[in-house]
Amino acid sequence: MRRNLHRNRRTNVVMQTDLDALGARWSCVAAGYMQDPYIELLSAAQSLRVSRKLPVINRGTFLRTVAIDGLIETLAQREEHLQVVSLGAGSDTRPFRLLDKHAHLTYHEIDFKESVDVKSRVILSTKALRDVCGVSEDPEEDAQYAEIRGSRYSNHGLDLKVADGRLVGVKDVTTIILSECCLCYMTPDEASHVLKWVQTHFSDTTRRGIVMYEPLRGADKNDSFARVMFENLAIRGLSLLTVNEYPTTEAQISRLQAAIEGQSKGYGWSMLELEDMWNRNHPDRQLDDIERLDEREEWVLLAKHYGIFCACTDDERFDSWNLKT
Amino acid sequence: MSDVDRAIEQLRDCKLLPEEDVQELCFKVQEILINESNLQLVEPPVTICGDIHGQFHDLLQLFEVGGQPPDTNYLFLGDFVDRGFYSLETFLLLMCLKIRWPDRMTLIRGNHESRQITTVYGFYEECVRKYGSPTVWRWCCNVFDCLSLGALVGGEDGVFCIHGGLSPAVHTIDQIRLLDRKQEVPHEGAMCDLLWSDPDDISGWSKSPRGAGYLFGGDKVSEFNHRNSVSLIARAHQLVMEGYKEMFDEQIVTVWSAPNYCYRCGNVASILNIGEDLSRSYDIFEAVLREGMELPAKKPIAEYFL
Ligand SMILES: [Mn+2]
Repeated sequence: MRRNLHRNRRTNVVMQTDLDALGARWSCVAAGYMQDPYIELLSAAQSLRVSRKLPVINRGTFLRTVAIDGLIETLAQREEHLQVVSLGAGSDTRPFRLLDKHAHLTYHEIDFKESVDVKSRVILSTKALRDVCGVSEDPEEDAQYAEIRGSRYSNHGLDLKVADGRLVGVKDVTTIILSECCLCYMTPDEASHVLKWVQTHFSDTTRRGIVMYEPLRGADKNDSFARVMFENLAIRGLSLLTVNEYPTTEAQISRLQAAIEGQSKGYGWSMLELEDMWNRNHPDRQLDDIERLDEREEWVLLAKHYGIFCACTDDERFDSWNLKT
Repeated sequence: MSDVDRAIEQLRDCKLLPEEDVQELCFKVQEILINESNLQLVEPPVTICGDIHGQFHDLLQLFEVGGQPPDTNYLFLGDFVDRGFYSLETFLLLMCLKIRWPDRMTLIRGNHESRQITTVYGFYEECVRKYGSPTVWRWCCNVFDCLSLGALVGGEDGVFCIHGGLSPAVHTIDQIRLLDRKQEVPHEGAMCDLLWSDPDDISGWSKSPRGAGYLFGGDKVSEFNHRNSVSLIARAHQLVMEGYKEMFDEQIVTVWSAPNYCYRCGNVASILNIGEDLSRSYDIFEAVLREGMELPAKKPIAEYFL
């Protein structure tokens, strides 16, 4: 019983983080960084108390969102059929935004049952979302709990830590496995189990890549920003259980390359590098023109401690992920 | 016991004052500040403090480390408000101390003592949350407009104190005395630069990434110090993980007094003690423990990307 209680609390606080992410995306849209036609729907579904966040939070949220969008979209443009499997997807609006734009994309989301249920109800009750997900039937009024099985979008309610078997509808085609701040709340063993389990859906020769967004501790074991981050998150009941195992960009990349098994390539960028890349590639839309930071120091600290890390099968289709060239 | 003493006692317990008391305090402190010159003359010994940013409990800790007013002569380099959860308590306490011991408490203006910046970085919202309307914020902003721009510690070979740094429009200290400071911080020009600029490893001047003020190199610091017969520029404005940072052959120092800035950065803080003979020593201090510290309900201590 005790164990169960403990596990439930851990699950609840992790699910709460989805609301943080959703609130940050809402703020980012409100501050004019990006558009998201679905953000109000999802915010309302979660009864989210929205508010404008600090500019550093908006900037980081924007960079993370556009960078991951970009990794998926460059591939979606090349592949006749691209599948995304998103781990701990929560209230993410990305599937709807990207399914709208890319006709040959299909999307699977996995999260706790409660979370999937909320999202399914939003989809079922909104014609625009039913259309984009390829859900034909009308919603059942009194369903206890809902999962979506659309022609282009499915979601799956389960606890990833103990996932096994095959997900209904996941095909053995070119796939991006996406994990945004999901595996970091698991133990290293649980996280490796998840990565192994997802791979079982694909044959060795199938093109696949992993995209992960997570906090970083940094090379210094005693990094003071990271120490305070652990303390602050611990007050909320959150533990970052894998950061000491994979403290740097390099460690994260090799972890993901190991998960791909066989010939692979790896990429990774801190949020600070993503900022620099955005500004270099968008002379007409500098981040400072969207929302200026009154100081750099805090942002630099924060941005060094988050990153996007990727690994993919050794295939030239993934060359677009080499963002630095 | 005077009203001010009572207010100080209450604020030290982190309890807010009634709105009408705040109004009276703001008027009183404005009367004092408005009669001060743009550049305050301060006799050493004095303890120079950098950004506080509403970290009220850490300000109390600063007084523990540096000595209680009026035993210690203090000079605060601005940025009292924004970011921390207790900007009001912080600024009200500093105002009260200024009223009580005007000659032992020098307050100069930081770039956050501004209407525009406080609406983005928290002080405006805090005033509305704690008093139910922006009235108190407006009174405080009127006080901001009266704050001095800088200070000069000691005479010949003394310390020039400013929140940000130098300006290409300011060659001599006397030019600062001629500015019309009683206004909102402008977007450009000498007053803006003094509150916004940063030293950097460049030569000459360059555009600041902050979008206001300039970056200035060691050559500009040497020129300024030589021309104006000062031995040191003491400024704040930039987070330093180690609490303080001397640059360019110790001709300029950044003093940072907000430990664990934004409850997130993990840095230590410092204060700079200038002796009677203009000698320098630093006291380093850490953030007070969060145990028992009341944080606004439902507000995360610090936000992360989750
Ligand atoms: Mn400042």
